[in-house]
Amino acid sequence: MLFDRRRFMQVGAAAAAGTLLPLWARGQGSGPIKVGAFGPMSGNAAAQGQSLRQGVEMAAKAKNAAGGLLGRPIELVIGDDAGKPEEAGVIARRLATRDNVCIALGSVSSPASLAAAQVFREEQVPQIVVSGTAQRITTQGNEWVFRCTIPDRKFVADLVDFINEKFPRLKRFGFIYVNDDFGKGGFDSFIEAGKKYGISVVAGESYTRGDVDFTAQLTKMRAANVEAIVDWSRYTEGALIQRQLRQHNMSDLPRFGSDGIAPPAFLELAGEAANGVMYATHFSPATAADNPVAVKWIEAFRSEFGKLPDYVHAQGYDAMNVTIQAIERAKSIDRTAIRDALRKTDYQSVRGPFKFDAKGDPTLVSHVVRIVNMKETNARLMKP
Amino acid sequence: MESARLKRSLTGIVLLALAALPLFEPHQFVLHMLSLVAISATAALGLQLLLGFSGQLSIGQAAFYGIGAYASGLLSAKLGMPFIVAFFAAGVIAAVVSLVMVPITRLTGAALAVATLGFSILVYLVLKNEEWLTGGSFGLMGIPRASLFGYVLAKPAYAYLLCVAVAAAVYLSLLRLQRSRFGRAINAIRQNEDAARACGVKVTLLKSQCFVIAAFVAGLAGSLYAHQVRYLAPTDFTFWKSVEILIMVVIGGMGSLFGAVLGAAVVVLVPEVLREVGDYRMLIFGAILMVVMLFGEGGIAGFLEQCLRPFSKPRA
Repeated sequence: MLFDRRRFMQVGAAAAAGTLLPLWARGQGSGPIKVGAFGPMSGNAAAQGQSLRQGVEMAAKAKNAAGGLLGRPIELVIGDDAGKPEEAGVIARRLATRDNVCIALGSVSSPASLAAAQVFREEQVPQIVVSGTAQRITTQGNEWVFRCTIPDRKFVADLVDFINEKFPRLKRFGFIYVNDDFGKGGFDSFIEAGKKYGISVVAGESYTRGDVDFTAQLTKMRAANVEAIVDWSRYTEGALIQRQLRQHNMSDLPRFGSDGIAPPAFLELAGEAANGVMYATHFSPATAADNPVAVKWIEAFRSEFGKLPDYVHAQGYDAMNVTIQAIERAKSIDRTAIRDALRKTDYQSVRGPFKFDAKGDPTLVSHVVRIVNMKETNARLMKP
Repeated sequence: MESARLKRSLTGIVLLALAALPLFEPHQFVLHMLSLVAISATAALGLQLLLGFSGQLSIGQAAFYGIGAYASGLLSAKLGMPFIVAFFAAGVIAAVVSLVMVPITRLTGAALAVATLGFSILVYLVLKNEEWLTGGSFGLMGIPRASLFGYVLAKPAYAYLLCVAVAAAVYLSLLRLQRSRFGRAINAIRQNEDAARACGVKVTLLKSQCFVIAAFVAGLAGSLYAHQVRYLAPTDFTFWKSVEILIMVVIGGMGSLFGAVLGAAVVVLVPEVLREVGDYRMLIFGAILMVVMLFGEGGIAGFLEQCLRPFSKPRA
C-alpha cells in the first residue's frame, strides 16, 4: 500500500496546516485590525449611539487615510445594544469570541456598559467605556475596563471646586432635582463634595419628571434664604425652572446646573431666562477655544457633518484615538499588550490632557459653561 | 407509523442531537446563543402551560423570570449559597410570589392580561428602586457561574448542557402533565369554563395551580439566566420581556410544547442572525413575525405538523 496509517496522518496534518495556517496568519499578521464599537444604535438613546459611532468612525477613517495602524487598515465592527444590558451582554460576547476584536469601545448607558464589562473581563478583552458615568464601572477590580468620560461624582465635585474658586462667599444653597437616579445622584454628590468647603444645601427640593409647576419648591428655597441655586434637571424641566425663577424674581441669584440642560433645546425653551446659568459639561465647543486639537477637530467635524459635535461625539473620537495610540505603543494587537499600553496613555484629547488613573478613569477636568446673551461661554475664564 | 410514536421518536432524536452538539466543538458564541435559547424556551414552556393549555393570557411572565433571576443571583452572590440550592429556591420563591395572583385568576381575557401586566410593572419598580437589595438601576453584579457538585461549569459547553437539560426536564414534565387528568381538566377549562365547572372541575383551583407552575418554571429559567449572563439589570425584566415570551408561545404554536421551543429559537436567534443586515434588522424581524402568524394559530409547530402529515399513517 502506498499510504500506511502513519503516512496518512502526516499528509493529513500537513494538509490541515496548509489550510489553517493562512487563517491563523490572517488573525495575527497582515489584514485589518478589528476594533469593536457598540452602543444604542436603535431605541430611546439612538441619537447618542449614532454620535458614538460617528465619533469613532471619524477617528478611524482619519487614521486609515493616513496609511493605517501598524501599516494595516482599521476595521470597525459596530454593534447595537439598543440601550439594553441584556443585548449589550450578547454584543460583547459576539465581539469578543466571534468577531475577535482586539479592543471594544462602548457603551453609552452605565447598565449596558456594566453588562458588557462582565463579558469582556471574562474573555480578557480591553474595553473603553465611552459615556457610562456610574462610579462602580471602574470600582469592581476589573483590570480590563477603562473609561473615556468623567465619572459622575467627580463631575459634580468639579462643579463644586469651580463654585468655591469663583464664588467663595456662597455657602447656603438651594438644590432642585428630578427624582430619579440622575437627579438623586447629582444631589447626593453635591452634598458630599460641598462639605470640604463648608457649602451646605439648606433647601433640597425634588420633583417628578414631567412636572410643569415648581412654585412650591421655589417658594421653599426663598423662605430658606438661599444664596445660590443648583438645578439638576433635564432640559424640558430645566427650562421651565429657569423661566419660573425669573417670574419669582429669583434669577439674580447665581444659578448652576448639570449638562442635562446643554443646548440647543434648553436655550430654545428657556429663552432669555437661560442667561447667566452656569453648568458643568463633558464637552462644549465654547470651552474648546484654547485647545488647538479641539479647534481643529471641530472644524473638521463641521465640514464633514455640517453641525457642531456633541459630547458623545467627543468621547467616541477620543476613545478611538486613545486606542490607536495604545496599539502603536504596543506594536501588536495582542489584547494584554494593548491593555498594558492603555495604562501608559498620555494624549492631548479634544477635552484636554488625557491619562488614565489606576482605576482606569480619565484625569480630565469637567468644563464649566456660562450662558451669556443666549450663547455658551467658558465660565472658567470669568473673574472671581 | 402512528403520529404519537413518530412525535416521540422525533423528540428523542432532537434531544440526542442537542446533547451531542458540544462533541462537534461548535463556536463558543454559538453555544452561548443556544444556551440563551434553552433558557428562553424554559420560560416559554411555562407560559405555554398557562396560555396554550389552560387558556389564560398572561403578559406578566417577565416578573417571575426576573424574581427567579434576582433571587438566584442574590442568594449565590450575597449569601454564598451553592448554585443548586439557589436554582430551586429561585423557582420556589417565584411560585410563592405568584400566589398573589390567585385572586385575579377569576378574570379572563383582556382583563386578566392587564392585571398580569400590572403585576409585571410592580415587580419592575421594586427591582429598580429597592437599591439596598437589588442594586437598583445599575444592576446586580458578581453573580458566580453555575456549579454542580463542587465543579464550576466554566466551559461554555457545560453551561449549555445544563440549560438544555433543564429545558428538556421541564419539557418532558409538562408533556406528562398535559396527558394527565390535570391536563385534561385544564384543557376542558380552556374550551369552556362554565361547562367544565358544571362537570365538577375545580376551575379556580386548577387555574391558580397553572399560574404557580408557570411561575415556578419561569423562576428556574430566571436562575439559569442569572448564572449564564452574570449581570442583572431591571431594564431586562420590563414588560417587553413578557411580550417576548408571549411572542415565543404564539408564533411557535399555541398548545404545542415543541412549538414553544421553536418560538424561543426564532425570537432569540433571528435578530442575532439579522445583525448582518444592520439598522433594519428589527424591521425585518417584525415582518417575519407577521408572516409566521399567517400560518394560523398553529404557528410554526402547526405548519411543521402539516408538512409531516403525509409521512404518518392516519389513525385507524
